[in-house]
Formats: sequence, structure tokens, C-alpha cells
Amino acid sequence: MRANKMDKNLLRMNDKGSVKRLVSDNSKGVSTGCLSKVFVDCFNKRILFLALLGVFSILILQNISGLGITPGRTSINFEPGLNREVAFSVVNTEQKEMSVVFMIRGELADYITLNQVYEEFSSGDETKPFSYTINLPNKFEKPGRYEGEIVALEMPKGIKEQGAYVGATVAVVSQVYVYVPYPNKYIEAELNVVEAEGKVNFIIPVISRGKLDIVDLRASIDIYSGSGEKVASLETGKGAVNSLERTELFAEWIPSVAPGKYKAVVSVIYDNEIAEIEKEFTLGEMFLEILEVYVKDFRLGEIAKFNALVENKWSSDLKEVYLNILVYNNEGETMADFKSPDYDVGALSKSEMVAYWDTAGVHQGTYDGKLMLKYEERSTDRNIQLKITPDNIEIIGVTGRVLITGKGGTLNMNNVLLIIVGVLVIANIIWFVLIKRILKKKR
Amino acid sequence: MLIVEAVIVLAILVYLFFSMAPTGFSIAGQNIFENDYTLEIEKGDQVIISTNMDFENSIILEQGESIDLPPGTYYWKAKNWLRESKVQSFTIQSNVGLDLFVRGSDYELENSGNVDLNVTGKKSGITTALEEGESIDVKEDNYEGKQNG
Repeated sequence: MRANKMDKNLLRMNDKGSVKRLVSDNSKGVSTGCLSKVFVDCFNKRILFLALLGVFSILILQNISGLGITPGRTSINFEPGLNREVAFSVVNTEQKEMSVVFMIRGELADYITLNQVYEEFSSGDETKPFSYTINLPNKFEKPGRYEGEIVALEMPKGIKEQGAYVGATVAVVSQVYVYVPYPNKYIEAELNVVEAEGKVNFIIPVISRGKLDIVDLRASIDIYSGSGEKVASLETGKGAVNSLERTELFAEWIPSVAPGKYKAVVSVIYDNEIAEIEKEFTLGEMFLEILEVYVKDFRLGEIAKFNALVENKWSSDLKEVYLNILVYNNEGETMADFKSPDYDVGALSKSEMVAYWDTAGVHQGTYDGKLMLKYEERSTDRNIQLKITPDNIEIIGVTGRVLITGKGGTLNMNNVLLIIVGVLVIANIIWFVLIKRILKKKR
Repeated sequence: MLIVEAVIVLAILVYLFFSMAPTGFSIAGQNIFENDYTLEIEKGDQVIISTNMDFENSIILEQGESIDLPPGTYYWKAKNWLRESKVQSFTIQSNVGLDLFVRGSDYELENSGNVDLNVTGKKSGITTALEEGESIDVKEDNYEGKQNG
């Protein structure tokens, strides 16, 4: 099931020509006499270890239960007698056959009607749209937030006929918030921290939940390190927000501190009142980042040597770091689980790690997998896909971010024209200077 | 001769001005909830992303760069040394996603959506925070997840 999901992602990304490759054929390899010796030592132990692991993996069955719902939350400003149809979608994250049962609960349950309470999904259904109708009363007694929940519960396919099910399952909730305005000035704010190009952007969406407009709105942000020391203070620009409307405050920070965990304490000041919010954020991408993974000189059926280049972005040394790679078969079962030895990675430095996988009995094809970099009870994980051919293993990773990609090469028609213009201009200047000189000489 | 050349150069420059307009593809105007998404540009060097149409407080990204964005509506345009593309938008919808892996007698719960969750074990009633992309080992086999915060 995982394979289906990954294949779909990959196809979609390939259409856009934007698959991020983790494989680098011209990457540095490690091959010293010393390491070769270590390799032989490890090799015999590893064969035994891998054989045991292989048997162990076969014995362990991996089932999966997965479900998604979007949007996770719908916010509505209260209007007397409001009648509205609200759309939502259920995501079949594992692309499998299943049933989904819907329920309503919460203080708004009496005002919500589901347009459908049961649906069956086939393995080809990635998402399915649904809706509910919200029918609000003419009045709520108190101002504030009223909550309702639409619960989607995953069940085996055909549960309607079977009647009951006992086993592993998950449920996901789409929340409905109805806001009844406060009679005075009242704001709701949150903090989004977005890091890009060496800058940290603090985006503070502010929603006025009161009946009165707010004419003077700003925020101050204090940033504290993990040890509680204040490292920076920032001010956003000033703004205003009308009753029941939304605006954003913004501040930019160019940090000159080491990567790590920080806390932002935000005071949103609105017409001489203050609302405080706090949020922890990590500066720097990760403590330890996997830069690339590649396999060189591979033959199917032999031992594959996985080289991983990792970077310690943390400002102190990390000890006992190791790489753990899982490979899943098409049923999502773990067919291989192998690890590198422990490494020490210096502060803010790069290190190459090696792990070996015995591919005896492995068939060529595309397999899903997981790459885990383990250190100090933490783990940097990446979902990967291994394309195994008789003489190559290509490793493709999923990044989980917005990736900017370009189309077309650098030498396109426009560049050629630009070069032509440049050449013509230079040729003309030379030609002009030469003619001038010749004319001068003649005179 | 010079006049002919000047006409050619002028024609090329005019052509370049109109043809060098950067273009943005991919998720223009779409609602997206997947964890991975790509902004694809043509003839552009940079992408400018903002939460408002007038691109106040925008974030500039070079080709090949990536960024984590919270759910919301974003406006974006591609830019090169000469021109900017038309403004497009996309909306990242919050997606509450929960995956449960069963390995023998152990379970692993993973937040597969794009928002932080509160997950509650149906038997114990214990609620745990599960950040976006985080996975934890759990004891129960029935969980419910909802957006926190």
C-alpha cells in the first residue's frame, strides 16, 4: 500500500520534471586500506546479522491503518439563522480498500447535518468529497467560540454488511468553530515562523473577534535561546483590523546565533490591550541533515555499500550517530533493516557514513524505504524509494517542502539571442574603432 | 549597413522583452493538502511568495530552494532580471492525517498530515501532542487525531 502512495507521488512529480534526487554518481567514495579491513571484519558479522534480521522481518507482519481529512478546521463567524453547506474531503492516505463512517459531536452537533454517514473507498480512490450542512440558531447566549466535530472513522471495507469490527483503526476529525462576536474589542492571534534564505519571518495572523474595530495594532517579539537568554527583540509594523476581519503583522529577523531551539514570546498590542502568544521554533533545518546517499559499484545479489553524507548543523559534537535504513516490499512489510556503525560527527561539520545491505535474493524493482539518522534519542527520517536494477541502486527521497524548480536548459533561444546582440554590439564597437583609426591614419 | 544592424538589434530586444516574461506553472490557483508540492517556473530566476496580493512582506526564493509553509492562502510570482510573471495563488489546506503501523505487538503512530495534532487513545483516553511529520511508538491500536492549537 505504501508503494502505491509513493508511486503516485513520484509520477506526479516526474510529470513536472522535479524529482529531487538523493543519488549522486560523482560523489566522493571512501576506500582506504584501513576501511577495507574494517569492511572484511564487519562483513562476516553482518552476514549473520542480516540473515537473522531477514528471518525476523519475515516473521513480523506490518499492517497499516491510515486516514486523512481536509480541512482540519473550518471557522465561521456567527450569523443569526445561518444555513451553509460546508465541504470537506477524506484522504485515503494508504490508497487501500476501506469504509469510512462519519459521526458528529460537540456543542454544535444539534446544528450540523451530515449529508452522508458512510462511504466505501477502493484502492484507486485518493480522496472523496463530502459535505455537511450547518444550520445555526438565531442567537447564542454567550460570545466566544462554539465547537463541533465531524469524525471520520476508518473501518474495513464492507463493515455495513459485517456489522462489527474489532481491531486497529484510526479516526480523524474536521473541526467546526463558530465564533460569536464579543461586544468589545477582542483579538485572536497565532504565530507562524517561516525560515527562508537565512532569514526568519514571523507572520502573525490576527483576527478581530469583537464587535468593535481595532485601530492601533502592533506586536513585539522577544526571542529566547534554549537556556532562556533573550537573544533578540523585534517590532512588527503597525496596522488596524475591522470587526470580524483578519490581518497579518510581520517581522523579519536575520539571526546571528547558532542553530538550535528558540522560543518566541509575542505581545500583540491592540488599542492599549495586550494578548500574549508563545511558540518554540528550531533555527536551522535540522540538527543532523542527510545531504546525500548513494551506492557505487553495485551488483544485484551482492553486498551493497550505502554511503551517506551527513552534516551536523548543531553547534556541538554529536556522538554515537548511526544510519538505519529500512526497505519495504510491495506489501509494506520490512524486507530489510540494516544499520551503519556508530560515528562521531563534529560540530557544524560533515561526515560520511557507510552501511551495508546484502541483496542476495532481492529482485530488481522499485521499493519504498525509510532512511533514519539516529542520534541522541532523536532521529532525522526520510521516506525514500530505491530503484534497484542489476547494476545500480538509485535512491529517491521525498522532501516534504515546497520546492522551486525551473524548466529548460540554460542555453535556450533567448540566451542565444542575447549572445547575438552582445556579439553584434561588441563587433560594432571594434569595427567602429578600427574604421576610426584607419581614417585617422589616412588623414 | 548600420541601420540594418540597428533594426535587427532592436527587433531582437523587442522580441526578448516579450518572450522573456517568466511563467509559473504547477499548483496555480489550487487547493493543496499534500506534504510535498512544487512551484515550477520557466524563464524565471526567483519566486516571490507572500500572504497578500500586493507582496508586502514577501519571501524570495531562488530556484532549487525549498520552504515549509503553514496552511493558508499564498500569492506568488516568478521573476527574472527583466520581467515578472503574473500573480498566481495557491491555498494550503490543513490536512489532519494519521497513520497507524502495526508491527507484531508494537504500534507506531505517525502524523501524516500538515498540521500539529492532538491524538487520543480510544481505550485510555490519554491525549498526546504529535507534531507534523512526527511518529511515536504507542501501545493502543485505536487512535483519533484532531488539529491542535
